Amino acid sequence: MGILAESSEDDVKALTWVIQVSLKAWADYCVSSGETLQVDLNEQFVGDFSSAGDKVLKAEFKDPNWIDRIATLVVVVNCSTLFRMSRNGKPVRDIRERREFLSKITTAFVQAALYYYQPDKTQGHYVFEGIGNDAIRHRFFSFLERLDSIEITTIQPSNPDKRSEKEIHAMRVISRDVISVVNFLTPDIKLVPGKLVE
Amino acid sequence: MSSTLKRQLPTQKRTLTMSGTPISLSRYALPAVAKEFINKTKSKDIMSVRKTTTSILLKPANDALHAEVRPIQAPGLPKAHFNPLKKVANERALVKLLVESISKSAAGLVGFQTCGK
Repeated sequence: MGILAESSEDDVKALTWVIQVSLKAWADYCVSSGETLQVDLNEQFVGDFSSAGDKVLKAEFKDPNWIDRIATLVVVVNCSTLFRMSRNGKPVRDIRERREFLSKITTAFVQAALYYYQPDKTQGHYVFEGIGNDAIRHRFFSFLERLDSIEITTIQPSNPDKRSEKEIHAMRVISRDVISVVNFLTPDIKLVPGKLVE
Repeated sequence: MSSTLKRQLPTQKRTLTMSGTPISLSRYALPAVAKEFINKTKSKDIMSVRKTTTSILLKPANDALHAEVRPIQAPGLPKAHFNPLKKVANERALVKLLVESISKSAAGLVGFQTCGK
């Protein structure tokens, strides 16, 4: 099981596509808004983060539905070091700037991921244009800003019990974050008639 | 809204009700329901609270109380399954949609301050 798809091969493809198409949108947004933050995907880490999401879903969600999966994507991406960021040729390391970028692009990730989860064609398609309510949107951004980074470490065979305890705790924390994100997203994911893009 | 908990025979599963009406909540509201249940039934009676993605099971210490809350499908969001993309019909149109969503988020972040900053 991966984050978006059951098979890890499909999952890595899907994650890469969702992130790349969102980064294309970010590049277009930069042109239209005068924003100068250039962002690239560290593709070599996508597989690791697919595995991390897989672990969370397997450990904490018996039968994750599509909203759980999209929320897992949001949490994993917001906790990750999946991006190389630079401004005017200089690397951006400021954590607030990185968080702000992730907050801005999160709705694009959700909308792009919805492309994979459409109901029957006759029923229309799902859209997510962002959180409509000002207070809840601010709460959501605050929440994203406070997500702890995911650290993928090599297993220490000398101390398996300690590792297991730590990992179980980490899984529970991440799953709580996922459940909270589901709670934020669900009211603003709408089923509308027609196709996603004509 | 005032709430009540309907009592049933000890061996039966208990149903949570609000003002006499069975609770129909999305599963994301279930932790609040569980908390309320524990408050109403005296927390010392509850041995464990087990949460799964589909239900919350409250297991009492003496097995005299038992509650299972089952969620309903969130309204307006039918099931959807992962479909690998063979070809994106119109990626440019999709990118345009995503730019709009980024712009809205960026606008929503203007003046955004978190406590502790």
